[in-house]
Amino acid sequence: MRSAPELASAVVRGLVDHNLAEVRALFAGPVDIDDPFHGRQVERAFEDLVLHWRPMQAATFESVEVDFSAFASGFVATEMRLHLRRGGKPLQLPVVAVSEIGEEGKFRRTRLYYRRAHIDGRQHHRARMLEAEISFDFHPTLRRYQDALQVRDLEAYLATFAEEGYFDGHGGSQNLYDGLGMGRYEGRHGLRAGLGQMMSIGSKENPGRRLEHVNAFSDGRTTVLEFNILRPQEPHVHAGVACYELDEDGLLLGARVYDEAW
Amino acid sequence: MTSVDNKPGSEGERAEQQSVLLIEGLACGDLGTIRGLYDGPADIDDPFAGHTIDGGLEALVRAWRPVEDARYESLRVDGSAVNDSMCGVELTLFATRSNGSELQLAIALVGEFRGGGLFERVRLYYRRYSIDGQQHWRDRVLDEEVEATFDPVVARYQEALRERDLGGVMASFGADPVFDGHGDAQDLSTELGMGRYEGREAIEALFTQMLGLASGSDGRYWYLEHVNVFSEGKTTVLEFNVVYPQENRFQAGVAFYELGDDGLIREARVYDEAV
Repeated sequence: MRSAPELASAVVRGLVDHNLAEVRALFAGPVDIDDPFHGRQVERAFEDLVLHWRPMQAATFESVEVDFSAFASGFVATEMRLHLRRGGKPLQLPVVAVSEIGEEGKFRRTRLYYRRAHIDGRQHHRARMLEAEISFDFHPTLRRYQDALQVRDLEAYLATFAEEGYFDGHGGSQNLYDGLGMGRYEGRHGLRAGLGQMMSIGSKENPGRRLEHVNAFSDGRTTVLEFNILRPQEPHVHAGVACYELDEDGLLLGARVYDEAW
Repeated sequence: MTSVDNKPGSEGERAEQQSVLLIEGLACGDLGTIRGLYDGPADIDDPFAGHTIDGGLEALVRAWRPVEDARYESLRVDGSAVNDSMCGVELTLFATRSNGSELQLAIALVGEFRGGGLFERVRLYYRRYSIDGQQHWRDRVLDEEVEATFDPVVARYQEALRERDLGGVMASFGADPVFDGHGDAQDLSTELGMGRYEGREAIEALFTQMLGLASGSDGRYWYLEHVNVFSEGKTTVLEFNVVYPQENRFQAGVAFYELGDDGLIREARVYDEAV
């Protein structure tokens, strides 16, 4: 049996020599290496993702329904509902796929967003996927929306919405104290109640909270923003995506947000 | 901004259909369909599975970044700490870059063992700046904070770090100590990473500067989150995350604390990418 220094040296030599067989022989099961440049690479992890996708555990597939889609600047964001059946009951999972488009219109990279609590009943943190903060030239309404959100100015925030506008956080409740995520809030009255509660809780518990913008694109009507919620009081980030749809008057018809922060 | 373009046959419609095929492919476990949607290796970041790239391990092994532009010369084992289930091994990789310059890369490898004396999981730590000349963030490698039981001296050192207690830090070191951060700086304000500091005077100067920064006087408050600890008696290995709460940024790293015969820290060797 080789000593630990011999095994460790053999791993590095295997990487230096690009010797996959040698590296494989050093592991009792699937090779699992976390490298600063390459990230964590686990043998057959991609196949495991596809063949054993977690939302499908103990569930059967029924259909996928597209709700909205925005395509611009080499990206596509498609908001879908995955219809499943689990334990004899229907389960709807809102999913967004944000993909970078590569050669011949094929995908290069995809980021999926959905609330894991819908699947396993537990609250999760989603770590950063995109490192670099960006600056994006938002539509004036969305600029006002972002500014109002940052300073928690409820009136300015509500003023960016059309009369029939809505916010959908794709969570399980309209009351954040239920701990089930932000639900759907419609019209000025609903928005005032839901977003007012969010701002009130946030002011007390996370006064330094801000959104880090990491990717954005717009097809003119819908702007897609990938973000990280930064809360200095928490040693975690919450990665998410928002799709902001404007009406013909340039006001917000729908703010559809997919994250796991609440 | 471009205009809405999801008309039948448009690029937008095709991209939307591909998105549906992706979700259907995941729901039905259809590898071929998913692979066919990508112009290269399929690259998916999933909430449960994390970032997975088709053939990612093969790419890591066949094109390991540290030797992409260098010729391997030799590998030296500098130290190790091993117990029944974990090992921490410190190595130096010697290589020659294509421009003829020498590369010395300090690497720490933490391995988790399974039965049969083989690895179950390996975490590599090295400073990417040594390879590409750019500062990087290393996000969390391990998520769960642990309640570590340290050797009393290492515990006192950790407590003093947390309390920004310079006297407590210095009381943990022996008479002729070494602190090696494997970076290039003696002065942290140059942001080249902690270098090698020999003797109590140099180490006290380092910690005076480091704990001053840590106190947040320049707005850069940080603390350590402990995520794995093991010891072979003389050397304690600590995997940690440096947490910068104001920026919600992290630097994963590992430290080896070696005690001298007097029971105090003789050498602290740290591998991270913090500056």
